[in-house]
Amino acid sequence: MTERAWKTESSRPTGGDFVTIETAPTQTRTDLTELREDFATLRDRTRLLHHDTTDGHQRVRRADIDQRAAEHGRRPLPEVLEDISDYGFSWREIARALGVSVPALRKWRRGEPATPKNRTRAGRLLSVCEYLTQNVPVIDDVASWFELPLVPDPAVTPLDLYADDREDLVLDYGEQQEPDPAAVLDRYNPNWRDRRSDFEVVVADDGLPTIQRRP
Amino acid sequence: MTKPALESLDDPQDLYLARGDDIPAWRPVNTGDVFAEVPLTIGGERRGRAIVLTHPCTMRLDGVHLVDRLLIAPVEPADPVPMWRGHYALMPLPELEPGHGHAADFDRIEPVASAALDPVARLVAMQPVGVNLLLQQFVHYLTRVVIETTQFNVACGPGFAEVDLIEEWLEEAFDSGADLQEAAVVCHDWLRSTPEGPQDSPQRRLSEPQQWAAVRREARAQVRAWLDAQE
Repeated sequence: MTERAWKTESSRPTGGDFVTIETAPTQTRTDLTELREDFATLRDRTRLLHHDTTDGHQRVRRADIDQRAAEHGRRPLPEVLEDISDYGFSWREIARALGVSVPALRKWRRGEPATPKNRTRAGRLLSVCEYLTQNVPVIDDVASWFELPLVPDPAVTPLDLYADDREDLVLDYGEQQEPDPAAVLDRYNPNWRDRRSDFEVVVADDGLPTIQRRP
Repeated sequence: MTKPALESLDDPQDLYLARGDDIPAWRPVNTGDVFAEVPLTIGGERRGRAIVLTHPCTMRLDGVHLVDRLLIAPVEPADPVPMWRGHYALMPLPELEPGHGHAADFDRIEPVASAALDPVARLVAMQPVGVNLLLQQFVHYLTRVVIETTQFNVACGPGFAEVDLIEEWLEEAFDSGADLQEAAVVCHDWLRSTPEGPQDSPQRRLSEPQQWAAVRREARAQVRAWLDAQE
């Protein structure tokens, strides 16, 4: 700890004016420097730990869903599709999530063959629904959860994300790994805020929805 | 002055839910459906193709039966590619038939008896994104106001959900060999039933997106119970 000499000056110096004093500010500054360095190190370690745990979690999650999807891939496709439907999705939404037409889906339901790629996609969608239902207690109705917008405007839903091959965002949002819906949308489309509308939908006096300009 | 932000689709296939024989005859008539053999009068009496313009929320009297007359626009062959910009009296319908484009003409809209729309003559049913685009184009034609398709999607969402539910109910009935007219009556009665009070009907609950999945599950249970009872 460094001692510093403090000098005071006055127009009329006295004998006690030239005095060496041990100063508290020097000690505090050194403590603060050490603390700052300690916290900076801790922050770096925490960031690395967060990165490693996030990466590890995502790998385990992917492995879990991959395994489920592989099991479902061995089942008859009509059964897999029926299991997805039992969650409460419409066939139109299932077709959209799988990236196929409704007529094609209807044919598969009746036993017509699908490509391995489409079989895999169907199994994977079922696996994602199972995973969220079993691992995220707050999602008590996964089909309903898929249909609810992340933010009121624009009304982008987890189903929209999934249909755009962003299973990662769906899972991060569902598991609250990314709890802020705006952050999820930023990863999906950085320009999403540009799609906000000057209009809103309200219920009119006849009980039916009406579009009007926002107040 | 900037150009209006009317939207379009890169892939025309995204407009259409199903075509021709792939459209179940029992699918309820909806906005955006294109029919053949529609009796038209503007420009001379004839039969031709037409697209339904009436809004999903106002095309039914009681939520079930179509109103007497629906607003339609004639549909004729055209090169729809340049029409997404600058041709605001038209709704482009690319690939309405594979390899052929068409357009709906808002300048010649007219009412048509809903009974004249033959489900067997339905050429296409539209995806919700197609219906939303059609409504955006039509509203802009009428008012020069541009409303984002996302708003139409929110407003029409309950209607889309109800049409899907009815179609799936009747599909279950068809697959089981049940009488479709009777199944339709049972479906409509169930949609309007109020077991817990006037605000509790499945049809009213479909006005809330968070209820759609639950209502669909209940509908499936209902139709399967009804079908089991028929055996």
